[in-house]
Amino acid sequence: MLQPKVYDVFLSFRGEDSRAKFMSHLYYSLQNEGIHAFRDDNEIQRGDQISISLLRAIGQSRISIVVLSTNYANSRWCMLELEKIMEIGRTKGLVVVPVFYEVDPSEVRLQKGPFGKAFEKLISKISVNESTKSNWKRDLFDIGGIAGFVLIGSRLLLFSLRLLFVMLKNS
Amino acid sequence: MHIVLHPLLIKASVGYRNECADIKHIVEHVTHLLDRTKLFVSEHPVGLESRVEAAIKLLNIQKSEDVLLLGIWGMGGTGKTTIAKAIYNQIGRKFEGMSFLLDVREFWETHASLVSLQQQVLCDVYKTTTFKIHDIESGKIILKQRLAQKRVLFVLDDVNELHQLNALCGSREWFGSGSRIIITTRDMRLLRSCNQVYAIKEMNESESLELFSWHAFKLPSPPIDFATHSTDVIAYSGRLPLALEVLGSYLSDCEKTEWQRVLEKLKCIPHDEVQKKLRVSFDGLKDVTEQQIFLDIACFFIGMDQNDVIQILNGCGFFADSGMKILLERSLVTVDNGNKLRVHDLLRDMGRQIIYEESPLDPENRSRLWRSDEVIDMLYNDSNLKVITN
Repeated sequence: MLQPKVYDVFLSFRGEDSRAKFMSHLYYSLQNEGIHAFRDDNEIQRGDQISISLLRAIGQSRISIVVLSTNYANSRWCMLELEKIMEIGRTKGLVVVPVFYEVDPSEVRLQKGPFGKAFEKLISKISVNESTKSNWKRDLFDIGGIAGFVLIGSRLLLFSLRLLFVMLKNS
Repeated sequence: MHIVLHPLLIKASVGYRNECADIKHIVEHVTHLLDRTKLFVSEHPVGLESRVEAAIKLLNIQKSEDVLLLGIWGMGGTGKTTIAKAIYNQIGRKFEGMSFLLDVREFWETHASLVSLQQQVLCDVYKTTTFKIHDIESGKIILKQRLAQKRVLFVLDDVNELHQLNALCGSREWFGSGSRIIITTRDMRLLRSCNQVYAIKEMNESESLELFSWHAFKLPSPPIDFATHSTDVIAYSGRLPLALEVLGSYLSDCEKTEWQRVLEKLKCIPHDEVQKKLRVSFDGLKDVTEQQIFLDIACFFIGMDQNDVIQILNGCGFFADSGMKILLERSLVTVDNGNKLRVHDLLRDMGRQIIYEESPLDPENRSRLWRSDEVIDMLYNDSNLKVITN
């Protein structure tokens, strides 16, 4: 029998990173549309082990929105969450919607730039065995390749300046 | 040298990012993925498109800023609800809020209250459950205050009494400008306040043959050796979509001799007694437990999750998995896209009629009671519950 879907959306995000305002706005906008979202905003409970109730909530959701901000991969907790989300996405058809928050998808995919650095920091900080590490790398590679939302302000500025420069040079 | 900058580029180059719009896009995307506004319409939508188009034309969505009420009128089993659902799916997104109240009559008969329907309308339109309504009268006032602020699409399905309309859509002033209200009913008298009435067009010969064939043969037209039998069944079932569906599904795995038998039975039933025609399919259920499961569903389990119902019935000692499969194949029961069980009201009434006939005068001697007043009566008067199976 299918597991009943309790939540429409499971929200995964780095609390201190993706500005609280953005997350609560997103959360309440979803609620306003009658979309039942699960958000794990209980920072106090966060220990090393991801709680069973949280894992269950992922399995009971139909969609997961993963907000990938610069320091997302710097958190063991977030990475454990992501591992579970991607696993259920592969095996049970959870729909994964990435939101690249001031992060370029290719940075996530290849673990480069500030996003990649934050991930490296986590790996060196905590003891992770090789298989978990390669799992996480694969999960980041996979989610970086999923079509989602790219929310970039300042970075786009750099890009457009560069474009302008190229156009000027060529003309 | 002359460079023209794309407006988007300028927007980006000043570092401008509209977080509000971003969130709106995400929410829209999620809503689209969940696709919950869509109602399950029909597996074989024969002749649906032209009828839906005609009804939508009457709604005059583009032009009028007024509030418009459309009645959809026809006898039971002609497809009023199906058409209303299809309209709802097609045009719903153009409104600020939408609500579809399925089976108002059924709800009224079993719950004897309309407060939770009032609550549901607000919940559908405002997407919150914060409104608390205590009684019908205060509900009317709240509905009027709230709905007047929005351009809504509101469907009241199967209304059979005027007070239901009074409680749920008192007057045009209740709704924001541009709102559209659709009422489906068998009773033309309830549609006096409507601007437009769409009387369901009866199926023509080729449409009824096609619908019947989809259910009987999984084909758009019957195989040659069943052609005359098919046209006979259609003639006796009065081209009523529901009857075509139920009889077609019943005959789909039958031998010619069984077809002959069914035709003989149908011949003897007067044209307007649809319930009796539908009963042919119920009587054709080979297994007694299949009949029992159908009766249980018709009395108690409409609108419940299919899996839950199977578990309950298994707990009662039925082999409900196979029984449910047969009922679904026979179109006696359907499942909507929320996995909720549905039984057409004519079939439901047929089931309840069978129970009623077990003991017309004494509810206590019937095998099932579904009306709360009868149950309470019996619990008060008599503690002897031996016959009641549920």
